[in-house]
Amino acid sequence: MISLNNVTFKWHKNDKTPTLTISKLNIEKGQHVFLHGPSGSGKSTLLALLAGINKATSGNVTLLNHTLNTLSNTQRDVFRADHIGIIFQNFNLLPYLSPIENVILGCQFSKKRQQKALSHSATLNNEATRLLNALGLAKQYHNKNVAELSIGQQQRVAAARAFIGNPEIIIADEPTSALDTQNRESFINLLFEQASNTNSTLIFVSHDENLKPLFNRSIDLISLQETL
Amino acid sequence: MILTKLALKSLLNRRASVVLTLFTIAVSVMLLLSIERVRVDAKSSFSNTISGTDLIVGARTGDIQLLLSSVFRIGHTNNGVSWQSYKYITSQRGVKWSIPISLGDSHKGQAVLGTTPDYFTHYRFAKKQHLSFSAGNPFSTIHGVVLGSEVATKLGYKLGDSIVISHGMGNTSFHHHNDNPFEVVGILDPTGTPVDKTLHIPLAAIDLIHGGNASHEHDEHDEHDEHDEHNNLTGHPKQITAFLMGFDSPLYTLQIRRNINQYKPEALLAIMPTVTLKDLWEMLAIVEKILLLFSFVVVLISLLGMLTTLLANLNQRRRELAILRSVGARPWQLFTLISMESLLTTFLGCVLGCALFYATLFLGADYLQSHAGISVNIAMLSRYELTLIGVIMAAGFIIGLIPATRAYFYSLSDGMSIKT
Amino acid sequence: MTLFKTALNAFFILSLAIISFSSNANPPKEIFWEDLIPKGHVQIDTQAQANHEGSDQNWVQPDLDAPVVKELDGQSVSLPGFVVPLEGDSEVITEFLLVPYFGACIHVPPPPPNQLVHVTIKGGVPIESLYDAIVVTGIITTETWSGELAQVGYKMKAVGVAPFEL
Repeated sequence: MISLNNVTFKWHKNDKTPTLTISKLNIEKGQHVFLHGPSGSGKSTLLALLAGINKATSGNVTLLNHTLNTLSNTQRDVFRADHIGIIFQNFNLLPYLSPIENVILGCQFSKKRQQKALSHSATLNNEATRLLNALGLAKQYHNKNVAELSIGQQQRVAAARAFIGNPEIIIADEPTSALDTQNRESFINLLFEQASNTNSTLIFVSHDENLKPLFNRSIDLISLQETL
Repeated sequence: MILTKLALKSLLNRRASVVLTLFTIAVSVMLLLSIERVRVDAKSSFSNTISGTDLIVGARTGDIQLLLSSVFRIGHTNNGVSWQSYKYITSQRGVKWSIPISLGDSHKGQAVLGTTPDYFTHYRFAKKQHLSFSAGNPFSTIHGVVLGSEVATKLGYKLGDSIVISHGMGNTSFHHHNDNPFEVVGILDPTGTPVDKTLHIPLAAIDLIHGGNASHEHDEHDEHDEHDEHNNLTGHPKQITAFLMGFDSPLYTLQIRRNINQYKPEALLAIMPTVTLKDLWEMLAIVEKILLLFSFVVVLISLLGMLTTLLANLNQRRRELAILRSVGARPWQLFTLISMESLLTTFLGCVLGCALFYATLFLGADYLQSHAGISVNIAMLSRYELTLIGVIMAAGFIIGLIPATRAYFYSLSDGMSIKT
Repeated sequence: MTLFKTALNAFFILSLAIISFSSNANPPKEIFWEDLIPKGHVQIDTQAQANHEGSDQNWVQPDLDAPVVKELDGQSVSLPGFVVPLEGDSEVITEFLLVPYFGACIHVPPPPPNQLVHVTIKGGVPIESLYDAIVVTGIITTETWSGELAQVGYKMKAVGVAPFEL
């Protein structure tokens, strides 16, 4: 469902060496993938390619039978809105929206996701509430100012936003790095739970090797790029 | 639409600075609208003061000075027209009517005008309207006075009251014509012109109150002593300030005007009121343009203030843009979002500015009327004023394009990467 | 300024169209100031006349020496000239004298009565500058009015005013 073939990426056409070189990468549907590597190993670049923010300089990046590098900028943006949910390490939330509104934001740029969300609950508000509950955010926090939430709580809201409308792919970029050890595992398990419910593919990026055992598949970015 | 909602929420979140920006824009809009409204209404008031008069004749001073002093009671004339010249000129063929006037006296700061009853029949203002009385009649005796509507209300006079005229045109005078009190015999309807602030007495009375013997045509059986007690209006002063004339046809006006201007026995000046008024406006045109320019500059400054705030903010909002891109917002949508914020701010500023404008009108109308004779119309926004607001909105929109474009390029270059 | 000119042009074109569809059905006849003087009549130079200072007969235009062209009465015409405003408000002029040259008013002797037209226009027309010539279109009449002098002169009920293009 996700495959990369002979992909290279250069920031500028005239750069001598590509920032990223991946000859082959395949990820199956429903896999929970642990993608790890130290900083500078090309994680952000790969994520940007997968999310359709950037276009590969050469080779093919195919997600769900859509070859992203053949799509126009707008088409890739639409694809992202329709099929991908993204969780960042921190500062995930818009400060001027409530937690519920932040969650709903996840499906406001895609009709497909909106419809899928509404198939679960009567209104988007209800669906957002359901997801926040499922991710362990207590009810009294649902409408608080996001600045009053702890990091852990903010990450749950971010996760809910990524999951609303059941996108097929969830990309999480170091989502637990800002959390304390106690919360990390429980958070990851919540992610697994949600992903399994909808059979979504989860790509979890981290530099923390200690988390590797939790995942059923692991990819090392450095070795990935060495296989030329 | 999601973008509008986001724009509104974003503005609400930055309430404090947005309110400041709103206020600056509102005040500048209020300034612009007020200046323009007063300017337009002032012009209108002036233009409506005199109508249906072919020529105004006075001593040879200057066109505009004669117009302003004789009709608007602004400034004064240093010389007058001799009774002889007046009689000669108005007895020429083609002259349909004439009204002599004499200025220079006052009562509690209001101008006193000496004239004949013809004034009440022939004087016209604002699209050839005649004067009308709310009470009483024109004077028929030498001690009658007709009050303009404002004189009556401001000083609380009614028919039958007694008034003493003072000499000079200041707010007070130390030279009162105590020995010749006048009786209020008529009060005029409001006209929105300087007529409202004037007291009208017979021409014959002017000389009388100055202690002179008004010369008049003697009949054989005319008996009088030093202190004239006769009540008719047959007296006249040796000199009048000016006179108004109407002809059988306006086709005579040009020729007669020229003849008066070249009149050898006395240095006189004849003006066509509408033409001279147009000259006045032309003189003031540059002032008007400068005023308008200044008002626009003030508006521009307030909009630039908005720009500064938006640009300063933008850097902090790059994270926000990255988040929005990650949920699928396209760069042009982010452009629209920022653009909409400036548009909303400008719009609300204009609305608030209009509200402030009307508040100012309500509070200031009375002052302008009593101190400058300008009647300001508290009406809805004219098409011109709406155009002004349209221009301000357009300016706000264009200025808003700057941060919007920046946001667009940020979102392209940043993508989803975290940038603090 | 250009907006005003465009509006004025539009107004002129529109009123021209209205005129051509009105009962007159003919486009207005373009006339010039010479056409207002009957053929064969020798117009005395007003300059010379005006120099009789103080003489009584000159207080109004010499009445005998300015006959009108009766044939023009009731015709739809257009005539270029300059505006001497008579009535109006701060926005528009509703009544004016149309004269053949600018400054007919001040230092130069004014034209005789058959070289003046007393124009009225319903609704008024905005005139920006008195220095610019305009073309007035309307029905011209030769009226006698009652007064001390049985004088005849031209009047016009204008339907359109447009800037004069050379």
